[in-house]
Amino acid sequence: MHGRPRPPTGKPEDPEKKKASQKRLALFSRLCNVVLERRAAKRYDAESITLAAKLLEQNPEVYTVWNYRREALAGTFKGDQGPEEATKAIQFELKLTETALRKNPKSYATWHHRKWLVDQGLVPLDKELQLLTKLQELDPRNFHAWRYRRIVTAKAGIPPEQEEHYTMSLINANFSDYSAWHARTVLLPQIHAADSGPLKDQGSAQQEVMPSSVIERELDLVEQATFTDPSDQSAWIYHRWLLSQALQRYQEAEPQTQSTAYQELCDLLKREIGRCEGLLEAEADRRNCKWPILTMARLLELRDSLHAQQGAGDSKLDGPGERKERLKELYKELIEIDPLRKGYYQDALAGNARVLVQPGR
Amino acid sequence: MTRVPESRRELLIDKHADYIYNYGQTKDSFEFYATEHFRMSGVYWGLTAMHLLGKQHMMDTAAITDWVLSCQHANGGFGGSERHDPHLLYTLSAVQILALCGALNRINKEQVTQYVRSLQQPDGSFAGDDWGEIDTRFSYCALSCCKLLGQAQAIDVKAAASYVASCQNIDGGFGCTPGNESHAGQVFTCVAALAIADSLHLLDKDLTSWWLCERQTESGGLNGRPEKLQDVCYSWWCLSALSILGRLSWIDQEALACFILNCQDENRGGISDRPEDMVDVFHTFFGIAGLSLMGRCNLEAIDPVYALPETTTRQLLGK
Ligand SMILES: [Zn+2]
Repeated sequence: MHGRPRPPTGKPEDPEKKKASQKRLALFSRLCNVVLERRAAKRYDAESITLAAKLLEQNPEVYTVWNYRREALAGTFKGDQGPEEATKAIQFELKLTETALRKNPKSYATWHHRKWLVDQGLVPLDKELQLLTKLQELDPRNFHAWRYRRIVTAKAGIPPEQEEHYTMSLINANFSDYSAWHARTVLLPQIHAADSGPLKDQGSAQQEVMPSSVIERELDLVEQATFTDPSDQSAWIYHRWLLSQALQRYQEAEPQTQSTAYQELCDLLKREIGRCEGLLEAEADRRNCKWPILTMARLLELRDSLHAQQGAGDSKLDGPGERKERLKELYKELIEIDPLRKGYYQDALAGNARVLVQPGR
Repeated sequence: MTRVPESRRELLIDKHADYIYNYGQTKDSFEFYATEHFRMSGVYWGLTAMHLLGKQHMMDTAAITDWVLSCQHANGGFGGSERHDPHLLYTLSAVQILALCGALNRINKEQVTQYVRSLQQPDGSFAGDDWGEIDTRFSYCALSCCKLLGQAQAIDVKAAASYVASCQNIDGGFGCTPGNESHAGQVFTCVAALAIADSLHLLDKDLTSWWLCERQTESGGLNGRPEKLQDVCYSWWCLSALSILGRLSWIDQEALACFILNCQDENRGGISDRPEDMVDVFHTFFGIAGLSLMGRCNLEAIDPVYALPETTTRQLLGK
């Protein structure tokens, strides 16, 4: 149960309300009893199935009753009663699931029933996308809707580029839409992988690395978002991913392109450090600066370990002692402005928490 | 961090025990019917909470055992209650309850594992039931169930682990299937599943733990995803995963304990999702379990992987 306020104590219950809730209980318990009895008796007649629908409209998570409907409808969908009956039945199920989802947009059982309908091959997929877009406008973070969207777009053969545009429009409307940023981490590697084909339902964490032009374009997008609100974590978590992609590019470079890749990464780090510095200068209130400070610390650590690995310290930069001091300062400040995560910052400073993949690991 | 009122500074053990006891007794409420399809999990939450509170003697374990057995189907799986279809979610809850009641000898273990095995897919994932919904939650149910029954060899543990690992996202969290957004509930099921499968090396521990510790909000409570509200149930989902990964120190435990205590209903007993909301058994269990994981309030210790009292898992698994 979520977000329902506690009733006040000490007040006797309003007799009118009590009567109403007793009536509601009597009706509901009778409906439950009738539907579950008929389900046990495997009664698939029209009246029974209508009662089942009534129950699901009120309580969409009762998985057994969705099972009941699927058993009852399997024959109709196979065409046992002709194509018209099948279409009619599909229309009814689509409406019923839509009603149920409006009642409970997080009902696992209802989303699964909807997927089952799509699997029967009788559902127009463009309509599904329209419904999804409507539901996702009501709650852009609903992960059930996102999951279903991935299933439908894959089935409909929608190119990943089109979905990428959709995520871009969501981010432009709201930089804090973490679900949309997440969707990009799945879509972009699909688009830019060597053999980009039609959209896959099963994106994976084991990713191919993207070309540097894409990484840089995305870093620019992050800059826009973080400049608007430097304390918004969505874009910063995405930023960490982009850095790990850039690092992976360098690590996977062929021996003959090693030095170019090294230079590329150094330039990128330099630019991102500069951007963090810019944000820190622009923001007067240090309490809003957790993310640029943390990112700065990670960038510096990465640059230092990269230099150490190359065995060529840049003489223009600070010595190791000064660098260590600078990191210490950054983490000290993080502990001050974000004391909840003190334990993590302490481990990170001691080198015991490696969140940005380290070279040579 | 908000100040906790005097009346909520301690864990109100007796009030919570009475609340849970009464939850099992009231059969003429709307809630009783509305939650019938997942009562098996409700009983598991209540009974485990009672064990953690040291009040298990208030529960009629013989009657509970008989009721659980009455929910088993011919295929070996258990339903959410007598009138509901078998499902992996409730099969795990049933096995957990029977483990708590010391009654695992009352079921045919091979028959139950046969049911679990029948739901494993060629890619290692598990369907929740014969209707084919795939979700990493079900991978956890399958692994935990078989392990508690001493039948891990009955399923392809390696394939199960590699499927779970394929659901890790770039932020370190896990989704319900590959490519889906990370969610703290899912992170618990995936981390615990990998722990049972002895495959924690498949995940990036620091990255996962960092994403988890970022779930703590100014209130001291934890949320389930970025930019979402804190909620007591994540005291279990996030905390158990951090505990399995050995990184409990990455959050402010004192602040979290205060948040949980402040969600108590000092009049009726029970714990809610957020302060001043209506309590339920689910949040009461997860609040108590979170406090137990942090070693607070003199509670029985809970096992972060199996979500059962340590005394129970030690007996069963000898760990
Ligand atoms: Zn909750």
